[in-house]
Amino acid sequence: MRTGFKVISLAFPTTVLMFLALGSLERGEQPPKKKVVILGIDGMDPQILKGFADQGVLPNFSKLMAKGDFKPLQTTMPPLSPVAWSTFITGQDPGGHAIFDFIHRDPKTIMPQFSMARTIPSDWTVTLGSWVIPLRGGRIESMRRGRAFWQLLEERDVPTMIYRIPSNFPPQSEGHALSGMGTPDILGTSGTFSFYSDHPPPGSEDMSGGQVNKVTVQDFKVSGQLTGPQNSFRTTGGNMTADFQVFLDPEEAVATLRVQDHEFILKEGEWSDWIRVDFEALPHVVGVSAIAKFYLQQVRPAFKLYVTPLQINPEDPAMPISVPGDWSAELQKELGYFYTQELPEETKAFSAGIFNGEEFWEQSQSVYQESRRALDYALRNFKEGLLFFYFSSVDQGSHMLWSYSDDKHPGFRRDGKLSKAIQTLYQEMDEALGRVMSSIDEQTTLIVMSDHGFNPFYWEVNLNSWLLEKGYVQLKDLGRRDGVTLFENVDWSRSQAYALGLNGLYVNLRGRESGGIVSRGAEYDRLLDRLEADLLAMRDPRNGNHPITLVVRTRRDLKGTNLDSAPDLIIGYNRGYRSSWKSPLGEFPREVFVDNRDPWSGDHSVDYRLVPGVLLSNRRISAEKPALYDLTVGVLSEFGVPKLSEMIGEDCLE
Amino acid sequence: MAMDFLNWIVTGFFRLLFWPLGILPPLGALTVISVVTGAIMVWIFGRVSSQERIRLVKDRIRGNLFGVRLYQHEIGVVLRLQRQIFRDTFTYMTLSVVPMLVLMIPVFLIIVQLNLYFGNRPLRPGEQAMVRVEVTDPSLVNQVPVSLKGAPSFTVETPPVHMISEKEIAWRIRAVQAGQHSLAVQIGNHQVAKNLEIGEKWGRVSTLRTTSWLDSLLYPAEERLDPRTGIRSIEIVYRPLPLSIMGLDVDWLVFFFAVSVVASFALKGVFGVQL
Repeated sequence: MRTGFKVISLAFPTTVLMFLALGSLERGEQPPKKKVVILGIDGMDPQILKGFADQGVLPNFSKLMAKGDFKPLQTTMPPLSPVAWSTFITGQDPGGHAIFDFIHRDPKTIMPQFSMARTIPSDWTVTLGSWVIPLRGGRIESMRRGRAFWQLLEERDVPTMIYRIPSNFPPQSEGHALSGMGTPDILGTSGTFSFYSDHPPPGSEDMSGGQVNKVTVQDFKVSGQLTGPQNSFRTTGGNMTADFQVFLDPEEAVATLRVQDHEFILKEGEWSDWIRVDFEALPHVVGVSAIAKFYLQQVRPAFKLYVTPLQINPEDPAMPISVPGDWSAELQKELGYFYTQELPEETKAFSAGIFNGEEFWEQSQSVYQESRRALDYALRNFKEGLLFFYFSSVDQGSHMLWSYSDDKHPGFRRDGKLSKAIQTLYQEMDEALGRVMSSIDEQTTLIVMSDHGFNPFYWEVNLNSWLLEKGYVQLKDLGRRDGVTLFENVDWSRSQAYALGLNGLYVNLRGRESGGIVSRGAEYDRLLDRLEADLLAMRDPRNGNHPITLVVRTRRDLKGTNLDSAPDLIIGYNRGYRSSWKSPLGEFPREVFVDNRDPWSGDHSVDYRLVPGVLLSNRRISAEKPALYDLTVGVLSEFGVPKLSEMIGEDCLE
Repeated sequence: MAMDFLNWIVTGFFRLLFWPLGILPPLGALTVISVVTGAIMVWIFGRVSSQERIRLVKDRIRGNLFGVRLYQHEIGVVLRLQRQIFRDTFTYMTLSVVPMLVLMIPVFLIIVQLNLYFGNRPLRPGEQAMVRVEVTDPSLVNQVPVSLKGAPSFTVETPPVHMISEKEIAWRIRAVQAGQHSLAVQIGNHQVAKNLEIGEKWGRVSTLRTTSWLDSLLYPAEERLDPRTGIRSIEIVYRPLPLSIMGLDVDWLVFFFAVSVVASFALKGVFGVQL
């Protein structure tokens, strides 16, 4: 063999081997791609979880508790979902992220406002006859202050997928995000269902959370209209509408429904699939697309048809519900249509008596099944970085079905199936956890957390009525206490304080409230001292209980400085108590304490010490008493990202 | 009868044509059909149009356009040339009208056939669909017993909904077994069959069987109904066949036109045809 050929013949395999070796070295030097999966289960309570785990019905939770760690997770004050999730998102207390309740108020008008987002209409329009043409689009603004922790990760090129975390509408992310709590229906409300009947229930004209429409059955046919959003292209205003017809069989309990170009058959008691409904704003030019499900509750003797709140169509979203903007359409393609409004479980129809417990259960289970399918999709597509996935079913089920499993509840209902409903919801979460655990490797950090726990809601407290009794509020006409809402009967020139929202108490402050009478400084401080003492001394005369166990003075006790919309006091109720249904919106019923017989029978808007959330992880939890804001820092630390100076927590994971 | 025979011939021909194409994905098959259609159309156009006159007119238009560029500063000349271009364009369009009219017939027949394959997809096993029966007389809706048969290929999930005002009876069915099945509507003493396609693959789907000869032109897969049965039409509401290119949904008709037009222009030189 010639030498030159020999050299070449040796050099070639040697070079190949060197490249291979270098390649493997390079791969070996690369740090493994960090993965963190967070399962956010709204309203999961540590005591209830432990109880079911001890009974042996939650094998995956038990396994995670044994292999990893489990501790109660301190929530926020007030322990409300938008507040608590905002704290987890930003690592700040409510004073930092500026979300203090579901509703805030405009101090000039004392009108309630949605706390999480606001719509700013187009300020540049042209009017042509009865048409208004916007020349610049309006926008929707999140009211949450502070940076989301996943934004810090994204800055360091960590891929993120944030599925329906509350208080993230419009979604803020550079990765993938779908908005959750805070996302309205197509009407811009937190979910307004429609109900059509030839025999509407009495008092349905003022039904909260839904529109009841009287229809007539003529020749076995019903014609109705779905009410869409306001037509902002019309000077005359008015809502866009879409017609539908229902053809009833003369004998059988079955009907054909025709909605635009969709036609489908439902038997009594059946739900339709998602139906796309298009509303025209500017004929053939501009429209708004929505989706809805139809439930044929009864054919006869009374005709009853329920339609879900009209959802923003993820295929063609009228509002920004995802990042990237077309991710919701991609999800729709993979998963089919899905609920996009916040908290889609139909609590309002149940509270209003349109649904019974069984119907609520069926509807809320369909919401869960959608989320469960989405979890499978998320896990299939999760390769590295952060995956946050949210479930609402435990929270909404615990609110609405508590009274089925608590015989001390004033509204206790006996029902064999529903008495086990909360356990079933926890078991469903256990199954979902099992799915997550089976899809991750040992290096992946798994966190299961909730924003708060749960308490029974036995008794309502009409806090505004108590303020009236104690002389903090004066009415213009004491004889008109019933049925007057939104503080219309309040004499502001003689009122020092008012309660608004689930836990908020505001001082009628001069220079802030338009009719303010309390001066800043000593008078304000003296009033708060007196209020705090009186509130903590409050007693329920029927049983001698103290209904209030904690009063937080926001400007003294909170760390953040975004306090413009903060109440002056945040009220922490005792176990079993909660603000009434009427007081948060400015009513003054005659009784201060009322038994709660509403299906909404479990709650958590109490003293935060009574309702911690849960924290489970396959890592050891280093903090003795971890709080939501500690977990924010803990997640950042998993990726080696330092916390921001305004974050108040410490790393809680080893 | 002539109509039914024509439908039988054309439908049979397309069944033969689609037999080898069935192995392709739907978009692949549609592309092949569109290219072949484009080629056939350009060939027919060449045969039925006055190619010499079209060539002359097009040459004249080209020449006059060149003249416009040359004499762009002579406004009088430019105006005269533009008048000539306008007149020649009109002549060119007139020369295209007759061949276009001739082409419309095969194009219509092709589109109707393609709609059978690409308009809808068979029901997936487990999927629901609505079956609508329209009758000729409203009294038939609620005075004559009507039922649906065909198990075990599908199950009938609802009782019939009798819609008197619409002269219609409807059911909801659920597909069970994959295959080409027959669904039977029993109305009084008459029994009428309708094809039912169930399966995971794409294929020929006949949505409507009717008594109307006009409708049977558009839905030619099944023999026309005998009007003496009292049934005007039987319809199964299938789902559209999804077609997408790189994640973008496309309408099969738009795709067909676009590809066949591109193919026609690409192949005109091969056939020596002036378009």
